[in-house]
Amino acid sequence: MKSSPLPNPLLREFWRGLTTPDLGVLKMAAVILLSLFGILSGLAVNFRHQIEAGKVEWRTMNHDFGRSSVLAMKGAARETDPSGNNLIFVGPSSLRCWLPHPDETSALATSASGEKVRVLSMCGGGQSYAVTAALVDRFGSDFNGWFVIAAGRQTIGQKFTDKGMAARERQPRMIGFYSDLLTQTSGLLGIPTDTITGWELWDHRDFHHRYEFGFKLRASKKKKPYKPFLEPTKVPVEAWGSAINRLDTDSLQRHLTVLEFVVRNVRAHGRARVALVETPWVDTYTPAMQTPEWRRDEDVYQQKMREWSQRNDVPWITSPATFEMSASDFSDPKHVGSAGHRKRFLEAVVHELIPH
Amino acid sequence: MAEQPGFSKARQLGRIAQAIGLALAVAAVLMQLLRTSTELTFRYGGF
Repeated sequence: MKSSPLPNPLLREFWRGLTTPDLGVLKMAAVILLSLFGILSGLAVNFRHQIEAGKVEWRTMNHDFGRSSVLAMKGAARETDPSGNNLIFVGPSSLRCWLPHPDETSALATSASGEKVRVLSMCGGGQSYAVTAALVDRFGSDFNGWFVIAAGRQTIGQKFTDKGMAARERQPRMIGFYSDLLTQTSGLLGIPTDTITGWELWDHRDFHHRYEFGFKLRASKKKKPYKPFLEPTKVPVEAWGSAINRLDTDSLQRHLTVLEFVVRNVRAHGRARVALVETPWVDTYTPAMQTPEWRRDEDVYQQKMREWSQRNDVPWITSPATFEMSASDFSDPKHVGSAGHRKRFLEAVVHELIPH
Repeated sequence: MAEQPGFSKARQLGRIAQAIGLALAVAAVLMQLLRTSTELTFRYGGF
């Protein structure tokens, strides 16, 4: 016990109680700590219930995974237009940057089609195809429309770096729902997954912490706006070649297996259809990057994708690769920075998939 | 010497304050770890 600096005898006794180590105090602290976790767990479950009840607006979220996750949890029945055409884009940030701003896509697609079209985006930076499968599955497929999934050679045919693999391993924590399909397809892709404890607060800890159990969404004054596009990189264009990788046929095959799984699942459970869309990186439009190895890889990629598309009867939209573009239309090697080409990309998909 | 009235209660309050402080300190450390983990998770740019 420390000697009390306090003159008052009552305060001295308080100080004695405050500073004397005691097993009873430890037990009391443990109970308080468990109670705090109990309250947080209750808040996490309540947040999920609010999302599932349609009371949380995904547009108020400023991060891809939060938006996609909440959109998927609200589901097709709430978010799609039963009388019209729907395009639901799902994929990584390279697809997100090929699309106009989410607030404008529906109007642009409607204008391109001449009919009412609803466009939604469930894209996220580095989104693994396992998460893509989980989002599609959770959103539900009993709607009149298309899931349009990204399939660029540099994404679907690329082996993950250690950093990329670690990031994908963490993705189940960033979405607010459980998915057996996520676990199953992560296994197919060789992505390690956390042990599911059944304790939502822990299993989806990054989702709940980022959105503070829904409280942050109400504090609109503090909210950062959602920015889907990237600022142009400071790295000179000449150095972009290092971002372009050789085709990894093993990764391509694994990803196509997962997509086959997604297609079968969608067909088994509803009316929706699946299409793939090319989301090229800068190398497609830069002859200087197209080495003999690059061309050989491209031939293999084209052949495997064509075969898969025909075998599974899934449209594969390749027209974006034929756009006349250059490195100056990109923010970095992976992400389009040109508003005009984003609009063209959306129009190309609309013309391929929406009858007019 | 007999303890004066109120002394026991003051000591008990001190013990409760110690328990609350301990619990909040542990919670703060855990929340900081979670914050670091969340920032790391969401920082990845990927493609």
